[in-house]
Amino acid sequence: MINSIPPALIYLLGALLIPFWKGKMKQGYLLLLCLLSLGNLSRLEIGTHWTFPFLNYHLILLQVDRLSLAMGIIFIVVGLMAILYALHVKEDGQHMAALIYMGSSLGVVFSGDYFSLFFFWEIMAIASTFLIWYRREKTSLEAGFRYLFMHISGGCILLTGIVLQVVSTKSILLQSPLESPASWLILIGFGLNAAFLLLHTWLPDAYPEGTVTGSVFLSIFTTKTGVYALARCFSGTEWIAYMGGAMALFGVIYALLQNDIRRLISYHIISQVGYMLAGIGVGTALSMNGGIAHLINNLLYKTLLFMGMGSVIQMTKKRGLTELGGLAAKMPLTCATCVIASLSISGAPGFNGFISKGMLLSSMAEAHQPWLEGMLRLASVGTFLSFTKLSFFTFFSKNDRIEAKEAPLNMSLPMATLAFLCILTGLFPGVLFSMLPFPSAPYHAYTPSHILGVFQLFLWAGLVFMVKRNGFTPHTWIILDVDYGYRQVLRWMAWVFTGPLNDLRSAIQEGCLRMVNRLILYSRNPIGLFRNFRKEMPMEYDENRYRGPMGLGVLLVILFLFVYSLIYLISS
Amino acid sequence: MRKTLQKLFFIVAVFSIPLGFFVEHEPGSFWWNRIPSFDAFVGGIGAFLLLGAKTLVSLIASKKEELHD
Repeated sequence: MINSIPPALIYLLGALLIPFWKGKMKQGYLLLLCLLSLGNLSRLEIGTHWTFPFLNYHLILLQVDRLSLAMGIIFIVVGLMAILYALHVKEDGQHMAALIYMGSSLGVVFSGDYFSLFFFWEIMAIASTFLIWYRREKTSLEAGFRYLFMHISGGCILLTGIVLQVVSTKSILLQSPLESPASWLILIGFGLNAAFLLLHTWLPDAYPEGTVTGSVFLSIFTTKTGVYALARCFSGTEWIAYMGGAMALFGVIYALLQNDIRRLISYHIISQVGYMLAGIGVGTALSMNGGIAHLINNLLYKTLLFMGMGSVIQMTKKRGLTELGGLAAKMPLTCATCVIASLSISGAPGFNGFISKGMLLSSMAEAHQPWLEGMLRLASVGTFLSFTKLSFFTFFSKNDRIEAKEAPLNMSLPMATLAFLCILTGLFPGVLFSMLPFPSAPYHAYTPSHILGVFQLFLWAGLVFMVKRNGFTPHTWIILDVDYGYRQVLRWMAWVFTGPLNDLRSAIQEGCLRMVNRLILYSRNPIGLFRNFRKEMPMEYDENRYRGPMGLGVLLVILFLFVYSLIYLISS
Repeated sequence: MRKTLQKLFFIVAVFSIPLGFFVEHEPGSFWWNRIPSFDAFVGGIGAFLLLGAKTLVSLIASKKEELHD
């Protein structure tokens, strides 16, 4: 008897039936799918396997262990909140894209082999692109194409790595690849989804251009599946830890420079993923637990932030910090939930970020990684500063001209629920610890030195914010990221290909044509080669001109044969 | 009101420093974590450092034209 099915199937098959429902029935159907998925999840036991024979391989569509189960639980719970938030959306296409995206992300998480993972990985990339395109603006269309281009390129690199890996090991099982070119290609493929530095540009480019609800889904799945894949296959790789530290710092510095509220939190995704990668890269039980705990917590507060900022955009039709302000009185619930999310992401005591950041910093000390500890601590200061800036200039700064009212119930309810979960997991971290991959790595978050340290850090960074507030004031300039450099290189390459290289091709083509024409003419008159070699080009064909040389040639051949035959006869 | 809040914030920040001398630090952390109130120093200096980094990046990478021109 089948106890449970792969959670991906519920969403992927469920998405196909969406067009058959209308109005309230459709909303009920969407919620029913989520409840069905939760019910199915509760029946998943560690060790469950679902295999499917394909060619000479056994694809593992469902493999449940502590890591995949933790990811599955948080994806389904936060996904339910996102579906509730998007319940008012009328377009079937958006709901279908979101469900397929969610289903394929769950497919990645529960895959037990590289082929299944790659299959779901690519569905994820395509489905998520529609969540950007559905905004139906020129900027979204362009950002969507860039997003798709990056992810398909990453997919090709990943597939190359997987094929090389399978050929060399004769195994498709999802496990740490041996040090080889294949492992580097797989790492780049996973790293693109996790927004490794220099491969990160798709994230702050595309996420702010998605629909209000689409960006919420985008913020949940893509980077987290990348982190999951790296945790599964590359834990304990030291340079990933340093990549994480660099991402944590880069993300906060760029976030401080942003004016667009969703671009600001998009840069914070890079920063927060950096924390997770630092833990995964260090690879001890505590750091792995810290990385995964931070992933779970991040899904709660980052989704809440995207929901809050989405509500602000939906209700005010404005997205720049320079245009916003004064919303605390007009959107009190959104304001309160966003402040809770800001405190959580900053790691304030009583909120969930305090637990996972503490775990990560302690694990850096445990593993003797002073540079990483310094980078993450400095990034914490930046996180606090940029969320002080975001909350202040969105909700508390003075703006009498702004018109807004609170978001509708279906948007407010998931925000309130996520805010509650941020506090619950912050005050009772046992809920969080019970989900982590290494249950035997103990951690005590609420020590006096940890609590006081965080308060001191906030107070003194807050003082600097108050004193140097002009330095943090938003502006409307565009801040270039490394993709500007990529575009310049591509433009230069396009110029080289269409200009000098094209001229060279034309010159070679003309030279070759001239040579072929000469060969044609000389083959008709070989003697002309000697006559005209240093003179002009051979003349037009004239049959009388070739009679003499042809006759001479035939005579010479006959003479040669005669002499040869004579010698042969005499010798025999 | 705003001035009063700012003054209160400043007083709390200053008074948090001596508290650091009464708190015991966990074993296994780095030596600088055992310096009393080191986190206050990290918060203040870190904020200035990040402000400097932000200013530097904005000098190099800010542009008034359309990004995807």
